Amino acid sequence: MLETLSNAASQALTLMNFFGAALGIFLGSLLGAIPGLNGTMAIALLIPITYTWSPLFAIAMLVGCWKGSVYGGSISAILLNAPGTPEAAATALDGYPLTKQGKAGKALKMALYASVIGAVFSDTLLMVASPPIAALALMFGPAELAMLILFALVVVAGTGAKSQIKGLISTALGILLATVGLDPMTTQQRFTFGSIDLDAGIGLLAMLIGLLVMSEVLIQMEEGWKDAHAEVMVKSDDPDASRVTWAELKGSLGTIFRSSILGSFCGALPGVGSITAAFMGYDQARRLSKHPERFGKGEIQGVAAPEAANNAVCGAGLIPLVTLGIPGALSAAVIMGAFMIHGLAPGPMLMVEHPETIYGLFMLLILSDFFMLVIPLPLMKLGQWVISVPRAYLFPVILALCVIGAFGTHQNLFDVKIMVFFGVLGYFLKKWELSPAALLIAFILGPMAEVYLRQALKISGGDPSIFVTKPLAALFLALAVGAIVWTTLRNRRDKKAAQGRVLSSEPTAQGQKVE
Amino acid sequence: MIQNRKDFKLGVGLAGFCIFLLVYLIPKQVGPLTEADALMPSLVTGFILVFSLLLAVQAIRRPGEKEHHDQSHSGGQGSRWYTIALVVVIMAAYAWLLDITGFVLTSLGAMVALFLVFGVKRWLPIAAISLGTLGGLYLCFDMLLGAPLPVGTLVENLLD
Amino acid sequence: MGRKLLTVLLAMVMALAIAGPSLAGDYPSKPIKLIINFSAGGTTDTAARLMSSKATEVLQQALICMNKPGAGGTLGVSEVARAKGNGYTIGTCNMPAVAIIPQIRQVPYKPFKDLVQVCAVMPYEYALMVRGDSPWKTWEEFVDHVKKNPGKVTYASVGTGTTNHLVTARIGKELGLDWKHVPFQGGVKETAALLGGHVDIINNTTASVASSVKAGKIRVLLVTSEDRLKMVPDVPTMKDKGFKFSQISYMSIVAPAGTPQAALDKLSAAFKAACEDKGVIKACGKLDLHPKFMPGKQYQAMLEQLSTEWGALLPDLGVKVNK
Repeated sequence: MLETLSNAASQALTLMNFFGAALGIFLGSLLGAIPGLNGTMAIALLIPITYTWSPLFAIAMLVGCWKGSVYGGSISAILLNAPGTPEAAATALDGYPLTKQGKAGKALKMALYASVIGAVFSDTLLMVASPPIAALALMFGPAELAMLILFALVVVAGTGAKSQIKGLISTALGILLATVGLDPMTTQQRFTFGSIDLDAGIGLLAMLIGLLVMSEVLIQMEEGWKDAHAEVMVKSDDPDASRVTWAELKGSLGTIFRSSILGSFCGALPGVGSITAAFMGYDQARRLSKHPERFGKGEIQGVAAPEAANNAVCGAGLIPLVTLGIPGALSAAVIMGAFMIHGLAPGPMLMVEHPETIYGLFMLLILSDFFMLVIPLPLMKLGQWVISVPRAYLFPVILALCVIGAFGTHQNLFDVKIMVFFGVLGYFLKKWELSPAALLIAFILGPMAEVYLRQALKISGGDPSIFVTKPLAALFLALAVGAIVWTTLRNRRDKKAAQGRVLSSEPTAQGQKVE
Repeated sequence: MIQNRKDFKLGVGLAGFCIFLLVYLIPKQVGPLTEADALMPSLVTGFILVFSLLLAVQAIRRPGEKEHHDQSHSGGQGSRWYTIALVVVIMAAYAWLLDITGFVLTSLGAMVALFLVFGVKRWLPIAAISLGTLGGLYLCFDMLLGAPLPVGTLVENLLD
Repeated sequence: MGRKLLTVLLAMVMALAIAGPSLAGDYPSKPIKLIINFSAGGTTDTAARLMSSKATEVLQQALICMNKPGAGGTLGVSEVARAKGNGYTIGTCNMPAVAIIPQIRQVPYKPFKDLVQVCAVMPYEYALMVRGDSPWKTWEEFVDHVKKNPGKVTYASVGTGTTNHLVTARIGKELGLDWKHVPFQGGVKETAALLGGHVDIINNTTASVASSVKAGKIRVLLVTSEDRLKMVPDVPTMKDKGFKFSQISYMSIVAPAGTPQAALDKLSAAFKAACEDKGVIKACGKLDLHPKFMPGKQYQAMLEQLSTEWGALLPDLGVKVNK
């Protein structure tokens, strides 16, 4: 074992590989930070050119790129309210209000620290506890996943909406939009209007870019972009406005730790992914906070939580890949290609046949987490400079980047049209105070819930008792019900406390609808 | 009297949309409600219908919150609706023309148009920023990554 | 000043646009676009990219690989069908996108009129597999188990209407098995469900689970491809078990209809060289992929036959047919 490790170290810890990891993180955080462009696109585009490189260099760079982009997205989310990556949508909820208060520096640094802690946590898990975690992940079949997704949906439904009812409408709209395309079970066409492009469904990234970035440009135009400049650059009189105090970090450690566990869990389960992780992380921070009312208005923990969670997905997303040959997350699936092209067939034999390469990779991953503390720093400065540029110069560039970003991932022109459509839709959603973030997360979770429910029912032969007889499924079903009850009780208490101008019939009406 | 006109309109509008979906679009584009494929879309549409009606009813009785409006409009310098519409039109043209006139020409045209709409009138920054952005993107995609940006059918025909 | 600058810019752009490659000279005179109809990192993508590097050498022109995944491979294929038949746009293709899916739902191309098969380059290798710790050591034992527990056993496929589904369903029909089909979206989730014990048997490509098979986590019971597999040479094929059909799907190269015969011949020769190149074979072999060349005409005829054969069976196998 020791020999393996030392061989691995000598193979992995070369200047060239360090450079690969650093380059990956740099490219990832740069592309992640640019609204419109993103890391998934970067990885998909970089993969072919890495085919000729050495495996460790290539994989370290790709994973670095993935991690970097997950962090980088938070920069544009915090500074511009235009999340550069889907994972950062939750970060914008509290990050942008902090920027408006002149505390952009604080938010950016908290996002960085939380990201690094989350990443280190999950890489350590990957290195020391892969087999048991992979075994745990396998226990989640369709029935368990259906209930887990249902739980997630209940918990995050309506995140970022002004009222509960609008949150629920946003959520339902997201699920409805996700049904466009081929039916996942019968492969019959739904809402495709005779277009083959719609057969593949609405592209997540194209939709996201429109919904979160292009719409934000339109909204900021309306809100007075000439002044937006002045408004954003409010000078805070807080001396700690651009740094994270020790007390704040200590206060957030609990949140960060819980988010890291949640993120690792989501990463290890095939297909659950970092966006879900980020929203669930955000939600647990809000629920367990002593001041849930501060969330959405610039709560620093609301930045730490989603960032720790979405970065924790990366390392853990590789767990099922290296132990079972099953990628845990979207980007991990693409990175699997880099393993394959170098003759490293992912799966249980990987550790047996190539232990040195794999342990070398683990070492590089953990090291690269520490690179992440340093490499994005200049980007932060650059980002803070960019938001001081008058919006008139910034917006045309952002809009052009949206088009290229939407096109780039699949090199599909149809995605650009989708992006523009959702840009307009997102504008109206924001105007009507519906939540694009809630729509997005429902768009991701909704179809998963549908598929797993229907698969589970196929397995059981149409018998719904499968959801209570399987212990893990029953657990998550109970959690989902518990979350609904808790939210309802809490709402009622809050309303009583507010000595409602509200008519008494409403809480019950809403409560019923949640179920 | 209706207290919150905006929410009322939204609720009624959404409800109308849902009825259109349930009565016309789902049977036509998905299939009869009895089929498994149609269950999820119909169910979700039903939910939206109920929520939006609830929203409309709520809007009749409860006034909207006013405070978060004036905060963002403090400067009062916001673009008019037609400027925003113009940006949307440019973006739509951008998306549809990419296939025909290709990445370079379309992007250049769109960016110049956008700069003009946003009120930047000096040619030097317009040219510098547009060409810088597009040149950088072209370099990255076409040269470094080998992932070609669209050439456009018109340009392709010119080349042939 | 402003107008002048604009004129200069426009002139520059025009100059750039016109200074493309000239038409003169033999095919291929410019890079060829290869549209891969599955996503980056998958089996098809990997094989295509490994081959394209060798094909590039033969053609003396770059093959630019682009991924257009989605809708069971039909999205990428429709992109090829839509392109001009000048030999500069080709793509990868799987059997169902041509022979099966067009019969299940509408696609915007006529599979045998809008497309020509340049050549087939690699058979996908399929098998029926169970968990390594399951009690069934042979195919017969498994069939026995299904017969003793009617309606209890589940089999998974990578989606409704895929060869994985249809072949398994047809096996069940011929043997009179009462088992349930659970479609998954892609081999990854299907394999995870098998390893977790949520389904009993899966039909999947063997290359994607090679590592698990070697580690004993997955046991191959029946090879559904035509020939025995190098990975598990002792496992019988469907033919060995007396079935009159097998799971035939090649990865092939397609071009839009109207592509000049000379171009097709050159492309075919280039991919033949790639399939037979030692380096390519070795690199693919590491991933348990085994390229095998078949001329386009021969594969096209095979596809037409498969199309009629499966088309007649679809309603019986419980698949909704388009019109």
